[in-house]
Amino acid sequence: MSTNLPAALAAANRAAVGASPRDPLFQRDKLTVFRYRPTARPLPAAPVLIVYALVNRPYMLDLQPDRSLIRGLLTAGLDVYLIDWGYPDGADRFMTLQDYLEDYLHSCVAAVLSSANAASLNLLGVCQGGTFSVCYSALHPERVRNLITMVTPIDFQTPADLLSKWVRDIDLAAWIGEGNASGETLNQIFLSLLPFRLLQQKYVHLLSGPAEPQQLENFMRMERWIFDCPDLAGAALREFVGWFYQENRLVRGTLQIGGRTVDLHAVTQPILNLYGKRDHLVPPAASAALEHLTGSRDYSGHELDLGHIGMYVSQRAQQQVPPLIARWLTYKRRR
Amino acid sequence: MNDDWLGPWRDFAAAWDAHGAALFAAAGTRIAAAAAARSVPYAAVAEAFSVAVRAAIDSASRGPAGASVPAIDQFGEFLRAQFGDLSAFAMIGPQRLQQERWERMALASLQAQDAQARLMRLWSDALREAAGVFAARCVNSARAEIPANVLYDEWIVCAEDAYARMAHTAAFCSARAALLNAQSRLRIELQALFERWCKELDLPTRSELNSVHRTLQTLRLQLARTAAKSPQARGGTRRGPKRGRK
Repeated sequence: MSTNLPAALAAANRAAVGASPRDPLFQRDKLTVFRYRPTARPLPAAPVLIVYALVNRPYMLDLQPDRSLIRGLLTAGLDVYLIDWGYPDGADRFMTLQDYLEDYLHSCVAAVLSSANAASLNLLGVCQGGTFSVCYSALHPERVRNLITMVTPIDFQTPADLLSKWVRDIDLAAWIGEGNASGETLNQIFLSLLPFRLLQQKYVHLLSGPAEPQQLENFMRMERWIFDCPDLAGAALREFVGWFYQENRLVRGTLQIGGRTVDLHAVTQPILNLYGKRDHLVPPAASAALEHLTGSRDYSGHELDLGHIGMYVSQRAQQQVPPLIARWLTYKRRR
Repeated sequence: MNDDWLGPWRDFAAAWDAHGAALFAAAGTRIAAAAAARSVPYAAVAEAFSVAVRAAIDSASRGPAGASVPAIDQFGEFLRAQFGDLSAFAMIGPQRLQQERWERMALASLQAQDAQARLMRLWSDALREAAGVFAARCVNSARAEIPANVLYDEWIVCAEDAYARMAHTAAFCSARAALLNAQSRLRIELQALFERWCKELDLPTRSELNSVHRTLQTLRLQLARTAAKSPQARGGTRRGPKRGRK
């Protein structure tokens, strides 16, 4: 172990996150839609709106210059927008999924369409944001030209889904009640899916390795992101866990948002579904289930040899994922 | 003058003993039965009270001058012994809600401890299994010269595998859910307790704020619906996206 590791870690802790220049396009309550400044000759493709999860922060997608899905998409010439949901507080505790989908997401889509002078856009949903994107595409198919989902849970009750098994018998009314769910608590649950690796091994490796500034900065950026967990609006989380995890309504065709049934057969857009073979949060089968549930005749699924987080930040992902998305979108445009 | 002025007390005690418990038990629930069992002290107290009062009066009236002082002291001791611990009485009266709350908290706490103990046992089993697998691997491969960091990584693999097997079992999932549910119930009761104190101090409570937020949320929805129905909104939709760029 390096003797100056504490000092090196303290220095690394100042490393900035978020690599690509961007401008706020639209704001509503605590959410902001950002438009990233183009860095390459534009592709002939509709704008890409990235819908991130309510859990954790979206800067994971643009963590640092050499680990940035967004930078990769910009380099490919795509017009990229991102929804940052912000940090919900006590005043947001009664926000429901209807509010998030039919009000917030709908307004974000409208803002991007207006900004890009387009009639429809490409929706890129990440994790829970992917589930939202699928629901939105079913409810408003006319606004979504192509749907891209990354590490997105669709079938919430597959055999390998440990999180699903854990929450099956939780009394949501008692746990969440009328409050928000603490981000810290949720994070503890996620970490306890792989407790030895995530709470021990990585720190042992850090302490036993050389204190290379670049590696320490990478480590501290990840560390900052992992523990940057916003609280979740209570009502929305209660609905999400109850409807999706406990009752698996999306797959069973019984999900209703704002009084309207989310019919996956209404999703007829071309779909690109990317998921990780080694994903411990969203098992591959949970994502792959999308293939046979929608009305799309143009489905393309890719199981990549990556984990849930590696899908955005690993070196292999940088080489594989953005070019794959750009190629797929360009191909769709030409057809 | 009526010599048997304690008669009503005896009747009261008899009524509690004979009918009160039966009435509660007839309610049929476990809680009602428990309450009925605790109604018995009322009858005993009434009887003991009548005996103590009679003894105090007898002692004071028959004894020499000044005998009333020790008699009254003795009666005071009796009262302290009888009514010092109100928690021994059935959950009726002014403290009923608080007593029920403390009982629920105690129950939730016990349930949490039980679930925690179950989880600890499962964890212990998983670690034992991991240690067994790890030891077998080390022996089989005769890796005496292997560096410590490699062995450590191998231990993590063994531990994570054993944990995953345990974490997927119904026993673990059930215990984990039971722990969270019990802790949640405990938190709910604690919040209610604090809110009661807040009310005493005329401080705002979370429930009051929730009420305000709920109203705001309803108004927000109504506003959005009204805006969506407005002619401007409908006209805007018809016009479609602007043309120009691209």
